[in-house]
Amino acid sequence: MANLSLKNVPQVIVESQVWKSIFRHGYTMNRRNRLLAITNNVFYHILPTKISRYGMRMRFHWGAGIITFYLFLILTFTGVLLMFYYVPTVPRAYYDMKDLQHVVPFGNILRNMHRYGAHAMVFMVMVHMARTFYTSSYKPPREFNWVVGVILLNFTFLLSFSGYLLPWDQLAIWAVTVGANMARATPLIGHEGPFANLIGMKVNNDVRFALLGGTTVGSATLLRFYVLHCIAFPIILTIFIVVHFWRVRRDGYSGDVPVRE
Amino acid sequence: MATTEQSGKSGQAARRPARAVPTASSERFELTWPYFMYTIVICFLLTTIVLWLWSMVVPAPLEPIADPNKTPNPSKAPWYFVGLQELLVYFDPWIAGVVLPGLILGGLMAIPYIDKNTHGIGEYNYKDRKFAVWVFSLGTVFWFLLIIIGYFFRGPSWQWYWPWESWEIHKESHVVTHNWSLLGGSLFLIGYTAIGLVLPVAIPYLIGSRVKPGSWIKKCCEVLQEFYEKRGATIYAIEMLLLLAMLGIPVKMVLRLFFNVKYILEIPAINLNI
Repeated sequence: MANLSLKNVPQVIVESQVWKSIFRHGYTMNRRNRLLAITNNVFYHILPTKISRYGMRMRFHWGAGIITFYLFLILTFTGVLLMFYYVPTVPRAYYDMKDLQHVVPFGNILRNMHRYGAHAMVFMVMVHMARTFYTSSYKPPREFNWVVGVILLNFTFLLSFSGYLLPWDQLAIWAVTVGANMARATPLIGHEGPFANLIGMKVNNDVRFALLGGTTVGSATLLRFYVLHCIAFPIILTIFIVVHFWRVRRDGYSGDVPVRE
Repeated sequence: MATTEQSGKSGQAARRPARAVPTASSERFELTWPYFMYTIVICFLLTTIVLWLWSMVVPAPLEPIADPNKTPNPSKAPWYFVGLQELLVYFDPWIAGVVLPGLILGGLMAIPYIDKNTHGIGEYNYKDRKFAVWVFSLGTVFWFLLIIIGYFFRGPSWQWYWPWESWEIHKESHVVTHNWSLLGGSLFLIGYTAIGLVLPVAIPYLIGSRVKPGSWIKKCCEVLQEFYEKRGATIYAIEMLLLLAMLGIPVKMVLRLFFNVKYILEIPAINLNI
């Protein structure tokens, strides 16, 4: 510490007890530290320490899964911020949207990013799925992870669809009406579906009634979709994402499988 | 104890024939930090930039406040469901909105268990899995085609409007549709399923031995026979039923558009219309 100059400050910081307690390995870029950078970090350790050059190329994996997951992070972040301004009641919902557009600082871009991000995520899930199919990555031992992926696709649809109602404009209410009207035609449990009359399904006791909390899209529907959109579906999706990532590590990345050399 | 361990290990090895174990000396492998981190960071940055610019330039739509008394014509579902909405022209809601989405999701989940072909893991391989690639690509293209039709080419009353046509001009459908009789409809459905299931198996057994080797008919027979024998009865049946359900959609579309058939099979007593 005798010759403390500006030049030495970075080194003093990196070698201090505080720094070393946070970052267990040294910062020097030798091979050992690069491995430790992955294994010693709670966020990075879901990644393997080494990946094949072949599987690392963008033209193999298209970055589709990475982008899908990142969009989910963006949607969680912007969604939580939107929750500060949005109240899911019929008298307020639409005017909260107007406030976001015109009053809240950066409210418009917050809302736009959430909406477009949601569309992009639905699309990227499909792209990721296509890539997985064309590289045969669903074949043994990765069968179950493909199934988890289909479940994730399903919950992405549900998340996007439940969020579609929340702006409470004409687009929202009628798009959800169109979607929910399909539910009343479910065989057995929708009142217009086949066999439903055999077990006494009516407009006020079928699956559509349960979904909407009434016979038409109304205040109960808004609250239901809000809770599903902000709490139930994201938690379920997160659980399946955890399983999905875990299985990629357990079953091995298909890009690492040696191709005919 | 040793034997169980042994068999467990060999079983796993058989299950993962080509699993690579990264070794420190391996030339094929590269460190995740920093090389794969670059990819992740670039993907994150580009996504952020694109999404940010998109959000800055194009304002998200916000229509007038929800009014249950004013139904817009047309009311369209979100884009990813518009393909299913387009199917409502050809099917009752219980098929277009419940059965077909269920079959799509169920069929997708079933793919790894009915595709027994072990070729092509970790590579873009068309040569060794032509059938799988064709079926998946057809389904995907068809799915997006329906979305594009529903999103861009459907106007008021779900009539066909070219993008340059005004929605102010009201179109009405004057097509008179009809239903097939109970007997005809049942026979058609049973016939479609039975022929689709049986014919690919029957052809090679019936005429395979009678044609001279080397002819194209003989080659077709061999391909069909191999197709069936690779799968076995159960997987063949599941796979063909899913395929027939997928191909049934364009079949019904053709019947509806060119022959004005509303329902192939109609049983009003239990709301069952196909």
